[in-house]
Amino acid sequence: MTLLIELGSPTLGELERAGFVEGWTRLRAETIAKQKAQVPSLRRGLSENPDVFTKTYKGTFLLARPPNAKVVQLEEAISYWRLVLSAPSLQWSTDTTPWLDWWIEYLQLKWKKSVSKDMWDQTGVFVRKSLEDESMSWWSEEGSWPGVIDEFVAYVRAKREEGAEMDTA
Amino acid sequence: MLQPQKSREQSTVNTCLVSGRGSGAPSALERHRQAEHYDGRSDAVDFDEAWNILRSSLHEIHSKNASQLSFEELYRHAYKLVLKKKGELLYQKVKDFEEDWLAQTVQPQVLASISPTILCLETEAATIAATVNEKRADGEKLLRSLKGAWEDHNLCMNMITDVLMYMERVYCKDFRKPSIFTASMGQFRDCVLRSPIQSDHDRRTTIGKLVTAVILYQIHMDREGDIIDKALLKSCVYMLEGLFESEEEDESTRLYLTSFEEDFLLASRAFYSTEGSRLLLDADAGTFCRHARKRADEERDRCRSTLSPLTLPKIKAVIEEELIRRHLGDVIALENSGVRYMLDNDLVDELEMIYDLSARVDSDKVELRKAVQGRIKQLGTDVNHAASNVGMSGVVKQALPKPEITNAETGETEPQVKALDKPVNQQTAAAIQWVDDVLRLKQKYDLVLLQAFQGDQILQTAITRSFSDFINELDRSSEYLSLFFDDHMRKGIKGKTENEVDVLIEQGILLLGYIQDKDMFERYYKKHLSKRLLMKRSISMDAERQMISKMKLAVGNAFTTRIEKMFLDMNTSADLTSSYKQYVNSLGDPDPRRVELDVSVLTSTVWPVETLMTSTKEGESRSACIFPAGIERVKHGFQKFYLGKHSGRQLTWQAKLGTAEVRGFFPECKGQKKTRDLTVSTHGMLILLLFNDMGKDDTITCEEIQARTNIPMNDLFRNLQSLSVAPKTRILRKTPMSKDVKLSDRFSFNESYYNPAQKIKVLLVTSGNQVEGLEERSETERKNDDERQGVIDAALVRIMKQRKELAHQKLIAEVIGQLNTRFSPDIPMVKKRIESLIEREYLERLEKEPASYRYLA
Repeated sequence: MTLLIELGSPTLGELERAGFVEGWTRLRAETIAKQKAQVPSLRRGLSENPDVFTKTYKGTFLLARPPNAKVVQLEEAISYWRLVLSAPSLQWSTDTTPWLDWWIEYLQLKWKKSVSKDMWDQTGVFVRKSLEDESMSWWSEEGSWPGVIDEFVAYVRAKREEGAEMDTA
Repeated sequence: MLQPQKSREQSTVNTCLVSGRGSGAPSALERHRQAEHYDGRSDAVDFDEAWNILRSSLHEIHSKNASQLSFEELYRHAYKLVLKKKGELLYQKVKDFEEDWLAQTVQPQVLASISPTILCLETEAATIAATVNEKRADGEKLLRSLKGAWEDHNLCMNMITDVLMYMERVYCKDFRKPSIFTASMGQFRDCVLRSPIQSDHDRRTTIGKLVTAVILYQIHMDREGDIIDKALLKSCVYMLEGLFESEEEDESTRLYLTSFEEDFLLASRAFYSTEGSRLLLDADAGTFCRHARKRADEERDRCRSTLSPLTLPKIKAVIEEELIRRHLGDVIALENSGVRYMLDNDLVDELEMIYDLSARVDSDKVELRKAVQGRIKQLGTDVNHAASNVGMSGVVKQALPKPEITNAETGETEPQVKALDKPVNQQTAAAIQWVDDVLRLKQKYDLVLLQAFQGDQILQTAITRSFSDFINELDRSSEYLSLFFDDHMRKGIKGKTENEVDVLIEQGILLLGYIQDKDMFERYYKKHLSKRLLMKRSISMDAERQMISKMKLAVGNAFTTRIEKMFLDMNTSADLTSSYKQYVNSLGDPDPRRVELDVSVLTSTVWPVETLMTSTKEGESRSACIFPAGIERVKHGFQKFYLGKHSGRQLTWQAKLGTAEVRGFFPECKGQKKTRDLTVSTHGMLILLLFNDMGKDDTITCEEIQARTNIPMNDLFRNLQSLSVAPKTRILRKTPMSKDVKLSDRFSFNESYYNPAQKIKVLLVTSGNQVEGLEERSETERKNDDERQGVIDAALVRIMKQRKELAHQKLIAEVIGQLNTRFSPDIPMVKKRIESLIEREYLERLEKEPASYRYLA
């Protein structure tokens, strides 16, 4: 996936010659062998280098989006999320919170709508923030988060409380 | 005796002139030099001889025998001694003499006046058996003796200073010594006040300390209500004020300040601390306040009359701290006499005291504010509950097919109808009651604010906020307020003077100011107003207009433009109707049976047309009802006329809102005429006209009526009910005779209808404006939310277009700022609108902190 984005693919499974050449050149990999060698480093970058991750994450939406469409259907978006937010890519989960599972659960239970680019991108920002500080202290109702994320925060909190209650019970 | 002195002075001046220095008075130094010169020429004076004379004279002065002495002579002796450079010796001798005198004569006198009863005052062992009176008498004895000693000392020292004037002027000045007066005052302080008292307790008490204790005891007695000799106290305080710690006589080292005041404040603090706690237990809030205020006044008077004014701010602070600040919160919260009690019982005087006390200790009046706010909130919530409880029970009773029967005005008697009728009317009454209650509360607190709180700014804002809080807590407040206006416009202002109406409107508008969701209010007001206007139910158009202009003043132009437009439409409609009549006349239509037409042409964007047509339910066809040929002709005529004037406009006929006057022939009616003029709704007219074409005993079912007129079902039921069930307007006969109208019911013309009145008004339930049912309510809310979304979008785009880039927080703040004259926007809603604008690519997010947006052109 990262590769495709590096190579400037307009939609899934299609490559354009110009993007292909330019992309490989940028990575200084002119031969097949070198190209193969690049793949693991790109893959590593996904989980370690935030810039690579962000680029891939954002590019994924553009790839996933059907031509001329503005949104991605929820089910599709969820499978892409599963792809970019779990190993070998960045893993969206912390010690206390299986973020990705809860996110998907929440979307399927409560959201049930298609996913816009803004929602996709903001989710990406949210992912990084939540990995930095899982207590979500950076979140505030007055922040510019989309409503869907505001509600997800409430959802996570409720779930955590539930969990805590069960622990004490 | 005067002579020599004068000549000497002259010689001094002369020499001075000779020496050619300055023309003013000779300086002390020069005089001194001159004196030396003179000294050389005169005989040596024996110091001891002169001093002996002076000393005995000083003794005489102190023994009050001064009348025998010659001031001139003594002055000369002192003068001579100073001239002979014996100034220092003289100064010292005088001081020694004074010290002797004070220690040997004065001190024992004062000591003698000390009785054992007062010795124990200084230690707090008040257990020694001595009555208050004894203590007072003994204390006064000491004070009096001290006062005497002090006054004598002062008097004598004044005389002595006069005698030793030359020494003062020359010696003391040159050698920067304190004047002999000052020095002797210091001696008084050291030898009298600071002299230890020999007593069997081995304590280091001084007279001064004892004096302080006595004064404090006297003040204590005064506070307890005993009578004391204030003048005596005052003179002792004068003494303390007149003495200083050191000879520099620095203002801040007055003995009063250094040795008395602190003790006084400490004692007062202790006194008021215990008194405060005791009062709080024993007394109610009113008594507490009265007492605290009395104490404050007393202390003020005490500082003025007995103690020093310097102490006033300090003792004030003590009282405020001990008596007021410490207990004020508790006093305000007292169960059966605190602020709540005062508010409930309109105890303006006590509230005023509480306010006064609060203002003394806390410029923000936090406690009082909280108490008042709490009470308002509580009362407000009660009022809200009262209103919504009726609402709830009403809603429960409203079964789904809710045939809202006739208005109470029609004098409905059948119990069943009434039972159904009740909830809605009750709710409406509760709505109006709610507004009345709120207004009453408001008036009450306005009065309290004005009379008790002196119109205090902070409390005013607090009260305003509380009102606004609880008013907005009730989500139907805008509807209720509009109903309140409606009720008054339709009935309430009947028979009221212009002023009364004015007051009423103003109060209502005041409440409007508290309501946040003004757009909701506008919606309801328009709905209610349109019914008033179209059905001509308003008592006074002047009052309506006045209301609008007042509203404009209170909440702004933007709010009222659409409402004003409604009035405008009414006026143009009236013009239109009359010009149409002229037009018809000019056509010379001779048909006498021609129906007259009175139209209201309403701008659909301004009038709440959709809410006026609520009776069509989803799915039901909205097709217009079928008019009989005669009416249809007129309709077409007008349509042609109107479109001729304004081409391109579309006219939609809304029969539901119309009224018609029909003349009916009733054979049973007595009197000369057998006809009656009936005022019915347009739909009612359509129904009645059907019977024109039928035989005497023909019947028609409800279903058939519907088929032939296409009146919406709801309206049809209602009209039939008022025409056949309501007892006074039973123009139709219904079989079977029951309250509810069913599709299969049959109707026929009631030949035997009788009503003595010539003009009969057939009233419909819906003609009155009432509280909405739950369904209607949520519908209205949904519509309002839709409208808000549009308004928020517009505001967002307007702001972003101007700013290009803006941080999220600022954007939200600006949106709220722009909109809160109309309503207070829900933040999640604003966020949703932003998201929607991003999706529609009006805005984009900027990747930076803080989160910002950019406007995309």
